Parts: sequence; C-alpha cells; structure tokens
Amino acid sequence: MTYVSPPLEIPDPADAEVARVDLQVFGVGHREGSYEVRIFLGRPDADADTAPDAEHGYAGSYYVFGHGGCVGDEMHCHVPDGPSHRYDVRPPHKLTPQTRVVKLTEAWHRLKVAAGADGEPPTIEVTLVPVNAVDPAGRRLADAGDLLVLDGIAIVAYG
Amino acid sequence: MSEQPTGPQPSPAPSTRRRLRHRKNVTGLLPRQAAAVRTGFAAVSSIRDERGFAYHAGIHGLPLPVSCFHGSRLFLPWHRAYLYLFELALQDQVPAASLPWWDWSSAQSHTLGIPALYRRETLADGSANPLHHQPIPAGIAGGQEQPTRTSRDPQDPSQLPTRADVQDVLAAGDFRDFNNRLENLHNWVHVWVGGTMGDIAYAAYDPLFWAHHAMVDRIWRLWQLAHTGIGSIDRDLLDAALPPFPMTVRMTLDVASLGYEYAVSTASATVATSEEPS
Repeated sequence: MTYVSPPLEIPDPADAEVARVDLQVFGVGHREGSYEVRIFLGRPDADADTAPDAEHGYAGSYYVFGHGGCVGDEMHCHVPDGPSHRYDVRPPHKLTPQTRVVKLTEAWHRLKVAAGADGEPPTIEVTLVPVNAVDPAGRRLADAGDLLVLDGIAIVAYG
Repeated sequence: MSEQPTGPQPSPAPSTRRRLRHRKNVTGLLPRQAAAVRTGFAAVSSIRDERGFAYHAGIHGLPLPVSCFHGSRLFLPWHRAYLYLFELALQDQVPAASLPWWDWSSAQSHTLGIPALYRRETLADGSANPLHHQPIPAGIAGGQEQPTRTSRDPQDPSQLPTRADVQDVLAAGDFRDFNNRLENLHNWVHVWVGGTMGDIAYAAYDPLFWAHHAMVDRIWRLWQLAHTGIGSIDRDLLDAALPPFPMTVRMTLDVASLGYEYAVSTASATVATSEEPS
C-alpha cells in the first residue's frame, strides 16, 4: 500500500534563498516488520516497480527497523499518550511512533514545477512506496502489504 | 634532544594498566586477530549465564523487555554502551579479541557484500564458524513461533550505502540531524541483510550485528572528531540513563575513556614485566 499526499506547497526550485528542503514524516509505525520507504516527488503513480532514480522523481528513502510484532501479554504493546504524571521518569514506550526526516534538497532542485496563478507557490504530490519488506520470521516479502504506517508528512524549507 | 627513558618505568596499579584497544576494519584483520574474534565469540557463546553471548544478545530485543533505543536521540549512546559492555565480556574470555567494524560503504563490500569472516559457514578445519550464525534460545517469544537460529537474506551488494551516503551523514551540523541521518543508514543495512538482522527482536543474536554497529559507532566517533563544541550532543541528554547499563550518555561520549579507539592499523611495543606478558 502506498501513500500519496495531496498537493503540497513547495518553494520555487529556483529560489536561491532556500538552503535546504526536508521531508518530515510523522507517526511512523515500527511495531511489525522492517522495510524501506521510497519517496517520489510529482509521481502519484509511483509503485514498487518504479525505478528509484531521478528520472522517475525518486528523492530518497527512509528505512524502518521493525520490532516484529508483540510477544507480551495483553496491552504490552499499547503506547500510552505520554508520561503518566510529571514525576514519571520512565523512558517513552518502545513502540512510540517515530518522526523521520529526509533531506530533499537535491531532488527539489531538479523539480520542474511552475508557480501557480496570482503568485501562489508551486505544489507537488509526495508518494511513499514501501518496498524490501522483511517479515518477523526474517523472510523477504514480495509485497510490503500494509506495513507502511504514518500519521502525516510535511515539507519544510530552510533559508 | 628529548630525554629517553633508561629502563623499565614503574607500572601503574593493575586496575589502570589496561591499554587502549583498537577496533579495526574487519577486512584488515591479521589471521591471529580474526582468530581472536572467532575464539571470543565461540567462548561467550558457550556460556549460559550473564557473561555469555545469549544474555548480551537478548538485551537488545527478546526476551522481554526490549531495551534498545531506536528512533530516539539515545540511539547512538545506548548502542555505544551496549558494544562497550559486550566487548568487555568478550575480552574477559579472550583478552586479544576486539569488535571489528564492517565498512559496508567500501568498494569491497559493494562487490562481495558480507565480509568473508562472517560469510563462511565453516572454517578450514571443517568446524562451524561461530561468526556465521548463532542459535537463538527457545522460549523467548512468549510462546509464539520464533527462529531457532540466526539467518540472513542479503540483497545485491550494490544496494548497500555508499561512501557518498556516509559523507552526507558526516556533513550534518548538529547532533539531532546527525543522529537521524546515521540511524537511517543503520536501518538501511539491517533491511539489506534481512533474515533475523531485519528484526529488532533477534538482530543482536547475529554476530554480524556487532560488526555493523561498530561501523555505526565509528561514524559517530568520526563525526565527534569534527564536532567538539556546542552541538556535539544535546545538553539535556547528558545525564540520561541508558538502561539496563550502569551508564549515562555523558559516560559514552569519549571512547578513549572507555578504553578503545578506531584504527586502520596499529603498532606498539611494551616493556615486559613479570605481571603482564608482552
């Protein structure tokens, strides 16, 4: 299963004031198997067979190192909202969803996008494609299935 | 002209006489150094108590609790402490053994993949190579199905991270960015190796895990050499504990204080005493 974002605003690739562009991925799940997530820009049709190269809008990958499922008793893998109270110094639950940051600067520079009407910034769709999945038994999966888990993404540009 | 010592110098107290150890590139190990790694792993593998391999491997994942930190700013300090304490356990059995690092970004790795030291299933004498695989203790998965030994299913060697990927990580300007980028490279290699290395629960049972993490720790060391001031670590982390280890983040920052360094090659000489063979 892939994720395709709605069109997101990005700076004009010719904007010399922009030094770096990041993709932030929130709520990354890692309780099951491990896998790679390929990031494509401007390619909502990208899938596991799309070549990971610049020509096809490939912008980089992030990798999820999974826990392989839950082997504890009931509620062992339930992630609480946060510390139970201000004096709770225990570390966060090991399955707390992660935030991943991937540098997109070079791929952003390669984009051929135009500003919208009335000076609106250009927009682009971001496609996340899970591939190279490994199941808890260590077997490679031909299809990453529903391993891809996230809450949302953001494109952040820095000057 | 500098003054030269004229004879053996007084030895420090035995507890402080341990010399700095050097972790080396796995492909550059001399036969006796490679043999020490193999012998060390074989020795700790035969021990079933808390000095043994299974105990240390189990700290990372199963049996519960899963103690490793991933997706966290404690990722690097926790794994440095982990390797440090396991290497001590290894050296308790075979003093000459050190954890080698697997440079998965090298041209050789991009041709051959997993280093021969870990790839060969058997040794020249026909015995099992303790670095090829290890058993996984039964009953550590809460009664669920589990692997009985480690396995690997590597992808094409050309798909490993490159030198340019490592340089990109080293170019990170602050610890948070560096930690995030390096952990992603680390995850990449776990996914590349596949098998039990692709599962947090069992990854540390694979002897290759330790060579992979020595490489990760080495990259952190290289980055530290270029980032010594503010930004080298988030200050709020310094006194954070690294359970279950009796260490804080602060205690992991200087590898020399932990008694090791990374080196391509070393040569040394000692003054022989009756207490320590040369």
